[in-house]
Amino acid sequence: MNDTHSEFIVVSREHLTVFEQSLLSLEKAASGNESRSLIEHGLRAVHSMKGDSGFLGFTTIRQLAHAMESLLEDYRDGARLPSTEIVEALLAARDQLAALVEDLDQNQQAAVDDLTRRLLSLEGTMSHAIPLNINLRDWQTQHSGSPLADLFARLDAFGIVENPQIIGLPDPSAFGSETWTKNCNVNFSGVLITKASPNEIAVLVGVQQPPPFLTSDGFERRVDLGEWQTEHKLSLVELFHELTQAGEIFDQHLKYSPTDLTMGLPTEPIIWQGRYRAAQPVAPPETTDMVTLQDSAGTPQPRPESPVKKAHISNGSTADKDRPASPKTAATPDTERLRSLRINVELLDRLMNLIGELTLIRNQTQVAFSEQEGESRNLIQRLNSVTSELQGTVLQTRMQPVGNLFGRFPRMVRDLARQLGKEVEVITIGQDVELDKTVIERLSDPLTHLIRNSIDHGLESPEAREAVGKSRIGQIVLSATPTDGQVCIEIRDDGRGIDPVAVKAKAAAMGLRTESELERMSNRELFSLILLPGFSTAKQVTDVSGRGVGMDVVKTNIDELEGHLTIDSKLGHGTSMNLRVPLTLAIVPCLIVTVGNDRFALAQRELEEIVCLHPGGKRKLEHAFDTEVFRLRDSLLPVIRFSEILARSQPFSADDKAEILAKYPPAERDPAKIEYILVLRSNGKRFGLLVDQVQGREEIVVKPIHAAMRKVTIFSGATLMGDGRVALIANAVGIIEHARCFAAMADDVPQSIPRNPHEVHRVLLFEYGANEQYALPLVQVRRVELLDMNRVERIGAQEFVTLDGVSTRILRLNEFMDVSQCEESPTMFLILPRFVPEPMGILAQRIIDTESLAIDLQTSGNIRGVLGTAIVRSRLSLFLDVQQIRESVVGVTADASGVGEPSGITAANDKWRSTSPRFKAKQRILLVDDTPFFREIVKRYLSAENVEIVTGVDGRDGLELLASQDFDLVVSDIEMPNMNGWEFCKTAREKGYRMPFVALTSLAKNEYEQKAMACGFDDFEEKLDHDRLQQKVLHWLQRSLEMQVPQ
Amino acid sequence: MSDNVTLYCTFLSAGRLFGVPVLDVKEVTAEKRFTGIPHAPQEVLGLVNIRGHIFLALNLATLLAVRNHPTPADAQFVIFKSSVGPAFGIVVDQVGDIVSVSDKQTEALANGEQMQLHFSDRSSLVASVGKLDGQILIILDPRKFLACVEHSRGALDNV
Repeated sequence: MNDTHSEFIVVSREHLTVFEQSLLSLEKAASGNESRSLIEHGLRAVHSMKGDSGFLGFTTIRQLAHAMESLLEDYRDGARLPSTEIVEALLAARDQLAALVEDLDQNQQAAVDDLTRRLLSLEGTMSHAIPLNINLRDWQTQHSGSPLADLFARLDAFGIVENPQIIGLPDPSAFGSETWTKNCNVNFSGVLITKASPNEIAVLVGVQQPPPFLTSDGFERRVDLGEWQTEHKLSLVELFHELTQAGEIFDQHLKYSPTDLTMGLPTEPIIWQGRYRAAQPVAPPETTDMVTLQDSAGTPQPRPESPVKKAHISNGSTADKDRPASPKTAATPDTERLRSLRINVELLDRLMNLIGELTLIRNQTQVAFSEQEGESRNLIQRLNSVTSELQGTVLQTRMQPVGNLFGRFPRMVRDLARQLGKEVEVITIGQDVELDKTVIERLSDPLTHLIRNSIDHGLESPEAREAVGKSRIGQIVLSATPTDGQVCIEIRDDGRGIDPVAVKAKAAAMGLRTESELERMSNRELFSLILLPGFSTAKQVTDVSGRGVGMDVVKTNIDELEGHLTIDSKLGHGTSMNLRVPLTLAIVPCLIVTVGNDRFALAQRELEEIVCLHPGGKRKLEHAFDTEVFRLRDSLLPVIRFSEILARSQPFSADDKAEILAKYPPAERDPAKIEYILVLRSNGKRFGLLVDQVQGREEIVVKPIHAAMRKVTIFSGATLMGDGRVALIANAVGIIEHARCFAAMADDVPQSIPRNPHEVHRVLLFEYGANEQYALPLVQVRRVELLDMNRVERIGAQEFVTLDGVSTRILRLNEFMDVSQCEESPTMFLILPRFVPEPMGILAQRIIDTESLAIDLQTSGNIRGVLGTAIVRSRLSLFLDVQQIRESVVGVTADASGVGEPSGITAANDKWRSTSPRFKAKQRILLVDDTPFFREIVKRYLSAENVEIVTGVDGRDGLELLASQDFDLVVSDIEMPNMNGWEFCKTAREKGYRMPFVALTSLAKNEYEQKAMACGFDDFEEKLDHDRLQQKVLHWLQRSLEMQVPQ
Repeated sequence: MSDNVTLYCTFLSAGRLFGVPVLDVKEVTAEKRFTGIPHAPQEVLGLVNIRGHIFLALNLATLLAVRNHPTPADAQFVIFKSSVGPAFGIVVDQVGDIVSVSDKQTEALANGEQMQLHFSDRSSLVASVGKLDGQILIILDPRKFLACVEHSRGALDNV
């Protein structure tokens, strides 16, 4: 395929787009002027295609374009609009045309013939607007001198002539003659509204073919150079000068007989031939003196549609005042074409690379000349600014208005709406917002899908809309808004919205989330579920969507773009899908940080804020579980040390984490060192990345990291820095995964339970009755449910609610304790305790907060169900003893049901109490825990006859106690100040203590059990399951006895 | 067998003479401002910028399983053509002459009889051995280098 052909394809695509847009906008054009200008646009597009294809010899394209043109022609005046049927036919023809253009070699004559016939059959069924342009002089000659009144009478007989005008036109064939101005043609022009076909009129009225030079393709001229020179006695230079003065010349060439030019000029005439587009319809008189313009013999051929076309041009030149509403018509497509240039994207990419190199050289020059003063400094500064500007400009070349993307949707929406029997209006906002070409390309698929979804699922049928009092016509708003370095694209419909209940039901049915998880989710979280594979709430599977395929593809596409999609919806009012995408993928604003001696870049869009840890400042890192955390305003931010990530090539194991914690004790910070925490958010997770230094912000060109290095996930790419070295771009997602870190969900309260050695607890504060404030350690809370009191069922005096498919007993505190009653309200809270095998929950009127606090627990054995009291937020708070409450409940149950069979708990307790006295001697247990609160609970759990419990506050204390007293069993916490549980046990074993050691900790068993065994523990127990602890202790006490027997 | 002669670009690494077909070599530079890649296999020295393009630099000595061989200050970076593999090269101690070796002078490294080279486990990288006057030229197949490194990374994962 040659260049002309590919150029034709590119241009035709544009014409087709224009044509389509005009037709579609036509359907909702408000005024006659508006629709007239739209039709003009469409006509011009299809007309240009006809001209181009005719010129290149694509006869099928030309035929079809012609048929389309003549059909649309009838509506040019905009007085009437083409019927839906006609628009439909034209759109179908457009598609066929597009297919023909894309596949120039295929001859699809048959299909085109069919379409042409269809188009022609539609023509002439109603009034046409036939533009007239009649050469009055010729007419008079032809009709042997009849008065012109005769002509007008005949025209009147056909219909009404709008906008009649008389135009004087000099005859070009007379150019150069003395009398050409006298022989000027006088044309009558106007628009005839008639039911007759143009051909009929041409015959009856006697309309002549237009002068050939008025075709918009330009007119062809041939000049016999030899003749011209003899005639004018002037240099040929003058001829060409005049020719260029007169207008735009193209396709010019010399024509001569095939002779050997080395033998001198041939004797035959040499003819200059070229196509000529006059700046004005009439060549300026002064050129005619010198240029003899002849009509070429064969071209342009008279065309059947010529009168029409003639009118088109004369309208364009004479009737402009009639069309004030369409300023765009002033610029011809040709001048537009000259203002822009098509450039291969690869070329731009290469340019981009070169600019990158130039930037490097610039930076190196800057370094090299930094010492010098004067002239060179000036030069460098100029080099600097030019380079920056150049880079910006080249980037600009890659930017495209988002309108290019939006432009294709009205057609799609129209077709789809028709197919689904819906009425839809599309409104696009912000077409001028620019995005990188690659981003635009990759957005196409997901957007198409989202819009389809909106029409299919979102919008109701016209009848349904009317029934709920909405307008029949559904609305889809497509908008693009730039927001700090990103573009937000919104697809909003005013349809039925997404029903959160249906989503919930579907998600539960598919087993994506448990019922209680779903209960707790916000609507936005719920709606995000529809992006999961296989999810569709549409009741009816249609041709368009509803198969559950696609939304997950949308999500994947958007993720690849580093975009973010959120869905908001209000049932009955519509849905809004918000898509945030970066402006460009090629250049990314980054933060440059250093760790040790290495530099790294971090995409700024992942960065939320930077926290500086000053030496001596109060803010510090603390340890929670296996991770360091930072208190960032009221939430806990897990912090990952970048240096540790870099140093360990394997994803962190529990050992790694423990090692890291041990390496950075919270109390000791290097007093001289300033460190920075970058608060990053990625994939909805938030965490802090600790780095040594922040160097600054830089716009970098992202290059992929080498293909052989794709297993290195903590980096997403590489870039060149100013000094010519390569820097790696850190990948937040990869880092989280590598650290196996429980990054906090960005929108959630952190779920972590901070345990640090300073006796700080995180407790849940709540109210039940009006008078008391209650507290429960978070470690003992499984979760809190919002309880709809309507769902509560009653069996006798007992209340139950179904949670997770299990009937859960609701406990009212005033039934067990002497406390105030609660006020009933429609929604209450249910606190589900952890480590309680029976399904039960404690009813609460109000959840006050969770609070980390140092508990100074006043133990009081008097109140049943209460562990002790403490002052929290200047209120006396009751710390509940879940076990006692549980016992009393189960006890009550047994009594109430009247069945004497002891339930699980009483059985366990009975066993505990009945076994312990059997120990002949008093059994001594050493309990080591740093928090008085836990010491108290555990002590209570284990208290029995013949069991004595001695407590120690940390590992060191524990060792001292071991040295001074005899024990049968040691139960120890792990995370303690001074000496932690690991060391305590290890040291104790080294010193030869052989009694059983049980670790009792809030650390996760599956991760730490092995470590515990390695340190010498015999067993590992998670805090704080009453029954299991009793069993374990019993078991080990018995083992301890057995071990003592042989001695 | 006809007497085909191939030109080899030779270089020294860890005291041995190696060669790769000269047609595989794009250029040799002294650029050595490598940016190390944490988590990358030990064979990888890092990334380096050569006139705006980023290349992956492998350490030949490590690649051939020579442990603890220090890279000299005047080491050179041999970059391969893209037909060999995407944007990479090897760092060698010293680049030598271009030598022509005829087919008759070379001997394939038989699979069965392991040569007593220190890098027997990496012997797949050796295409053949050329018998020069008074010297042995170990002819390498650079097309296998990247695969070897990727495999190395895989092995690391299993540790």
